[in-house]
Formats: sequence, C-alpha cells, structure tokens
Amino acid sequence: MTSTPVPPVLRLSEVVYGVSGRSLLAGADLTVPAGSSVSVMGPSGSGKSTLLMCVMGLIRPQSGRVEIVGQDVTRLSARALAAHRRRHVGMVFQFGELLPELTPVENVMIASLLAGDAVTEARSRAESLLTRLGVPEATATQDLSGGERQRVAVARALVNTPELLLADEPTGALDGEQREAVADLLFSTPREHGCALVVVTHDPMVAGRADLRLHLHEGRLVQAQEAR
Amino acid sequence: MNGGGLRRTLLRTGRAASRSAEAGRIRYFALFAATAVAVLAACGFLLAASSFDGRTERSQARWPQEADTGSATLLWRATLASVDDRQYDVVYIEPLTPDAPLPPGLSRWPRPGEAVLSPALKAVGPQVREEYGRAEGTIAPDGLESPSEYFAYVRPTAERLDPEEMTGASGFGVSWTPSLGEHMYNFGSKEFHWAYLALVGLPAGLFVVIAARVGAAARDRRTAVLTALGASAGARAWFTVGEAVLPVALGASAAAVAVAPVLLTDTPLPVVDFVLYVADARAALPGLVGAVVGVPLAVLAAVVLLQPRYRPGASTRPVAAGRRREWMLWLFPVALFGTVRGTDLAPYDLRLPVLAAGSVVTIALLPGVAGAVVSASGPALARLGAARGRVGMLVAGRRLAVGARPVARLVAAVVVAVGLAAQGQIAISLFTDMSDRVEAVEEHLGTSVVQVSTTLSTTTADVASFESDLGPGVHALAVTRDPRSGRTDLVADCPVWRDLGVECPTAAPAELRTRHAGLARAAELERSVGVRLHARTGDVSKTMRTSEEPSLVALAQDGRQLSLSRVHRAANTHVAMATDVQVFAMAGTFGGSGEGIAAGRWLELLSVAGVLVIVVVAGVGAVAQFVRTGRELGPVSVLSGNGRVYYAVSVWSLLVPTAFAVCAAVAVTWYVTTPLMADSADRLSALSAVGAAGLACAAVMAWWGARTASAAGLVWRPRND
Repeated sequence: MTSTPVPPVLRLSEVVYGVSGRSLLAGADLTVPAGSSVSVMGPSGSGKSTLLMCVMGLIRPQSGRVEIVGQDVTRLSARALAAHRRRHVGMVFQFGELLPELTPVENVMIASLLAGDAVTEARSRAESLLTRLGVPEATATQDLSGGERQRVAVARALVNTPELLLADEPTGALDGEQREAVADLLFSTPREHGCALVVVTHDPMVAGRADLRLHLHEGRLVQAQEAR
Repeated sequence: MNGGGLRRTLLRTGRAASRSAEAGRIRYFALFAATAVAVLAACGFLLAASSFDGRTERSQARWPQEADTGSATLLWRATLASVDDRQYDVVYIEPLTPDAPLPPGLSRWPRPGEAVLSPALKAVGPQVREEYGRAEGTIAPDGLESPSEYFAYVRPTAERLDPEEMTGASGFGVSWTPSLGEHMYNFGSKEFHWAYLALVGLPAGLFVVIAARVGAAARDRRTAVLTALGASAGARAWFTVGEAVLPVALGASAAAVAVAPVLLTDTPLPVVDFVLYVADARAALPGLVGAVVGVPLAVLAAVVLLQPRYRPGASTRPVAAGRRREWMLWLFPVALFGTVRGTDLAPYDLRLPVLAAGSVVTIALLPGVAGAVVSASGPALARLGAARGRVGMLVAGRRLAVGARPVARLVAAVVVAVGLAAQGQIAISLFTDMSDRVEAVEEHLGTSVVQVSTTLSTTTADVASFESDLGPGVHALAVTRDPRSGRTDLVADCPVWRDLGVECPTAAPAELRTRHAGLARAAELERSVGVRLHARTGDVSKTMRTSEEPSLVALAQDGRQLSLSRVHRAANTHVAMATDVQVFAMAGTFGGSGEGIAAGRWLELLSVAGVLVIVVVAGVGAVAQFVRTGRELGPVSVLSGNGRVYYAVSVWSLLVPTAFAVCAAVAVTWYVTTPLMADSADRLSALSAVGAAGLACAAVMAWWGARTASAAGLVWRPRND
C-alpha cells in the first residue's frame, strides 16, 4: 500500500512579476515542506518583499503559480484568498506592526478573535504563547522593548497555528542580543509547530540558521553558494 | 550653514515632509480650507462693519434739517408701510421753493401725485408701484441704505397734501442716526456682530485648530525626533511653517478670489433679502487686504503654537499630553452655571451679551469634558471587549483611553455644531413666533374685511370716491373706538347695513350680528380679545372728517377678497395723504415682527454657514483619525481577512463618543437656553431636530471613517523603511 504524497506547504513555480519595466521576479521557484525553514537574502530592491507579498496574495504575479497547502492562491477570488490566508498563513513584520495601545495579550488574541475563535480559547492561546516566548506582562505594548515587541509579533503570527509562517526582516530593527533571541524563537517554530518558515533577511547570521539558504538573484531564487 | 540658509532648508524640508506624512493630504486640504474659511469669515465681518457704517452715513444724509416756517424750503413726513412681511418707510415730500434741495438719491422733484420708489421696492410687483401715485424713476443707490432697501418718496396731490402734519426743513443731513430706513427693520449691528462671531467666527476658529492638529499623532512623534536631533524651538517652528505655508497661502488666495467680486458689483446675499452695496465693500478694501494677509499669518502662528511644547523628562506619548490641561475641565461647570445665573443677575441690557458669550464659552469647553468622560470610560470598554471577544470594543476602548484630547478634537465639531444650530433655531423661533401667529390669523381672516387707518388729517376725505375706486358692491364703514368701554362702533348708513344683512340700528348702537362671513369672523376675533363690535347708523364721511383717530373698514357685499394694494392706493388718493391698510382685527399686532423676521433670516443664513463649515471640520477630523486606524489595523485585517473590524472599531470609537457628545450638547444647550423667553415646546422641537441631525451626522462620520480606514487597510503593504 502506497501513501498519498503530502504536498509541500509552499510551492512557487515560475513566478514572474515586474513593475515599471523592471523585472523583480523572473521565474522564481521555491518549495518549502512542513517543518522546514528557508531564508531568502538579497540586496535592497532585489524583490524580497515582493516575493513575500506574492506569497501572501497582496500582489498577483504576472505569471506562474503560488501554491499554499496545495492551493494556487493566484486563482482565488479575494474572499477565498482572505479565508485561505487566514487559515494557513502567519506573518511577522519588521516593525511588528502591533497596536501600541493594546496589551501584548490583546494584540495576540485579536488575530485569533478576527479568525472567528471563541474568546476563552483566543485568550488562553495568546497567554500560553506569550508565556512560552517569555514576553513580560505589560499594560501597553508600546511600553515593551523592541525585542519583546517582536516576540509579541511572532506570537500573533503563530496564534492561529498557521502551516506557513512568513517573516519579513524580523530582526532588522533589533540589537545583537535581541536579534539572537528572536532568531532562536523563529527557527524553533518549524520544529515545535510543524509549520514551514520563510524568512526574508539581510542578516547572514540569521539566514545561516535556515535549513535552506536562498539568494534572490536577477529575479530567481538560487542557493546561496551559487549566487556568489 | 547661516541662519537664513538654515531657515530656507527647514522650510523646504517641512514642505517635503508634509507631502509624505501620515494623513498629509487630508491636512493639506484641511489647512487650505480652514485658511480660506477663516479669511472669508474675517472679510465677512469687515464687509458687514463697513456696510453698517455706510448705511448709517446714508441714513444720516437723508434725514431733514428741521427749519422754521419762514426758512423752510420743503415739507417732509415719514410714514410706515409694509409689503408681504416686510416693513419699510414712505417719505412724503413737498418743495416750498423752486430751489428746495433734493433728497439724496433723487435727480428731480417728483410732480404732485408721483412717487419715486427704490429699485427693490419697485421690483416687488406692479401692485406696489401704483400705491402711492404714478411711479416715476427710481431712487439712486446713494439715497438708500442698501440697494435692497424698500423705500419711497411720494409727492402728494394738492388735495391730499397735509402741511400741518409735515415737518418744515431747509436741507438734508444730520450727525445722529435717525429712526428711519432699513436698519430699523433689520438686524442691529450689535446683535449681528454677536451672532456672526458665534455662528461663523467660532466654527472658523475651530476649523483652524482642527486643521492645525490633523494627523497630530504622527507629527508629534516627528517633533520629538527633531527635538532629539537638537532642533531648537525656532527650528521646529520653521519646519512646521514649511509644512503649512503652501496650503495656507493657497487657501488665502482662494478666499481672496472668492471675495473679489463684491468689490466690482452689488452682491445679493441668499436667504436674507439683502444686497451688499459695492461702495461699502470698496470702503472696506484696506481691511480686506489686511485680512487676506493677516489671517494666513495668524493661521501659521496657530499651527506653530498648537504644536506640543518640548518638555524635558516628559513622555512624548499622548497619555502624558492628555493630562496636561485637566484644569480646563473645571472651567466647564463654572461657565455653565455662570451663564444661566449670570444672565438672570445681569442688567437687562447686558443679558443678551452675557448669554451669548457664556453660551459660546460653555459650548467651546464641552468637547474637552466629553473627551475626558469618554476617555475615562475607555479602559472599561476595552475590558468589556476583551471579555466578550469584541475586537471593535477592545481596540476602540484602548484607543479612547490613550487621551481625552484626541477624543475632544473628534467630537468638538459636532458639539459646537449642535450647540450653535440649537441656539440659532431657538433664537429664530423667538423671532418668528409672533409673526407666525400674525400670519395664521391673517390667513384665517383673509382680506375680505380690511381696515384703513391714518394719523394724518382726514378733514377733506372723500369716502364716496374711495368706495367707487374699489369697484361695485364695496362699502366703507367708519370705525370709532372707545378705549374705556372696550367698544368699537362701525358706522354706516341704513342701506349699507341692510346690504350687509344687518338690521339697521335706528337708535342706540346694537351689537353687531351679521350674515357677512368675513365681518362675522372679524367680530368673533375682536370678541376673543375683549372688544365688542357694534353697528351704528351715521354718516361715514362726517364721522371720518371729525374723528380723532380716523379709521375705515372696507368690505365687499359679496364677501370677496379685496386687494390690499388697491385699497391702499384708493385710500391714499381719497382719504388722507398717507394711510395704513391692514386686515381688519389685525391693527396693532403687526408692529415689530418685520425686524423679527429679518433677524430670523439672518440667523438662519449665519447658522447654516457655520454648520456647513463645521460639517466639513467634523468630516476632516474623523477621516484624519481613521487614516491612522486603517494603517494600524491593516496587518491584522489583512492576515485575518476580516474587513468588518473597521466598522466595529468605528462604531465604538467614533459613533458612540460622538453620539454621547451630541446628547451632552443637547442637554447643555437646553440648560443654557433656559433664560431665553422661548416656549419650552419650541426649544424641545428645535433641540430634537438639531440632536437628530447631530446623530445622523455622527452616523455618517462613523461610516465615512470606517470606509476610509477600510480603504487605508486595503492598500496597506508591509514597509521596510
């Protein structure tokens, strides 16, 4: 008896995207299975953030496929795309993008509430994640340090147990010690949560922790060594 | 870099920063519009002042210089008349010598039986044109208070000339303000200035404050960064000026272009039947130039001064900022009770100014109080939202708890709008109440029975000609009143009484009982105010010629409606030099309502202008605040695929606080207007209407804010800047 092969969490096939006559993605391919991590590096303006926005469905590629959990998101309606993203994708932004007046627990639990979870479940998952990530209790998120805020952002991305976790320069605004802590946290999630992780970063140290290190070179994703 | 170079750099940098800042485009528009509105408001005030001055001067210039019989070169007599609901003056003139000076605005002496009307009076219709005789030419603008004034000069025929009742004069022009002309039946300058400041000045000032602080959260952070970089207060001010200078200059220019036409031609104002005279506008030119230059500078000064000051050691976060002016909240109850009690205690002449000033101060302080209350309830709202899993309540509660001042800014416009509109409506109801009643009675009675009265001599009155001028079947009855017994006799001869279905009273007068419907209604109305009508047999002409207070009643036998202007024309021709014609049983009730109607219309115009400004202010404030909400909620809503959250947040952070503020404004206005003589039902109806409009405005703001936030959230993209 043969088991059905499990599709990768994320598969990009020949993704092409350009703007103002400038090609940012020129046939990018990427496959990320569950439980593994990929880092994407590249100079500023090379199209790293564009790649993440294509994956999130915030921009539609001019050609190619972006499959998340076996579903090509480029062919989904806006409503179906939003629902698919809510069920399967979490994202950590460079500056956290948290609501500064809310407490850390509230910042995390609203993502769960907006996804339709019950309040008790949302609160308990948020508290448990923040405890595990070592975020201190605070009256307002704006009172936290940069590293702590970024951990709240990671907790918010994980609260809906996504199969795919995206991180856009998650340590870009942090100093050495905090950078290490956030990187530890991010790269432990594929093992602990079984999700796939894609991290876009400028930082070679952070990128070096990924299972697969890729470089965005002339619109294509290539292994870090090939790019050199 | 030298000082000038640094300033230029700061101005340039500020201008560039304004384009890319959060809510930058909204602030640009807000500053542009606020400056334009402020310049227009200042110009309006200056034009009004100049118009009042010009009207006073022209009014003084046409009042006669009294002279003894020997030295008088002309005779002059002013009388009161009305058309529709507007009162005006008719001046009877008669030259005594060939070189008698002409009244201002006339190019020649009218011939006997001719009348010269003002263009506005002439334009009322053909019925007015012939009331005083043949209408020849018009009075030139320099002889009128304003081009819209109703005014007439009449030279009576030789038969109707009444020299005994006229004043001898040798010329025109006095140094005091005479009681003649449009200003007598219009808004007085003091009342106008108060109403203008409250209904237009306050909204314009509020607009400037709101515009200066649009997008304040992001800009305050930037100010903190500049301070941290070592920028002095002066440098920060130049930077702030750089941000604002272009929209402010453009706003002032737009207002200047909008005002310019009043310098070229007479400008009719909507609603109020008033035309601004071009000469008055030109007289205000230096002031207008000053306003176009000075107001934008004042706006720039306000923009700089309204930036929060740098305080070493203090947090730059809004939490700390919100606690700075809590002492101002204590002024509110003082202003509230001071206004109501102060109005009671103030001398009679000062009551209106005290009430107006107190109301303005109270309403201006109310947004701060509403903001403090809403802000204080923020944490409880957030806890409730968190406990129930309502994201809208949670986010809104935390946002509201951050500080009272953003909430105060949010609700300020609506609170002021509700306060001003409600006060305006109540004042209008005060003015129009009496004229409404008069109108209702007039409609009830119709013009089938009209009364002709005069204070001039009727010794040569020709009642038979008067009757025949009014057509067949029209009778004229003399009226005599005895104020001691409250009895009014109608005098006619027997054939007339029989014609009207009244038994001819042969001996003593008998209480009037008639089948003539109009006369019966008039008798009933007179009875309701304690006057009993009696029928008496007698000679009408004789009674008229000998009466101390001559008065006639004209009515058609068949009860048809009579033309008031035709009766007036016939009375002026055959009864006395100047007569007053009114619906019978209305005599004496009309006085004063003309001024009330004009005041009501001015209040309507000013409050509509003020409220329109405030609606724009409210919209700008709400949208600017929600641009930030949209940006901040963008990541969560994108990831959760939930766009409804914007509407939930908007309900709790915009609709609920604004609705609360509207209710507070209605309650405070109710209390503050208790010293006014307005009927409680009128106040309640005015406040209900304005409150409902305020709630509707709050709902539109909430929807608009949510839509703006949703749109901002839709275009949100992660920025690695």
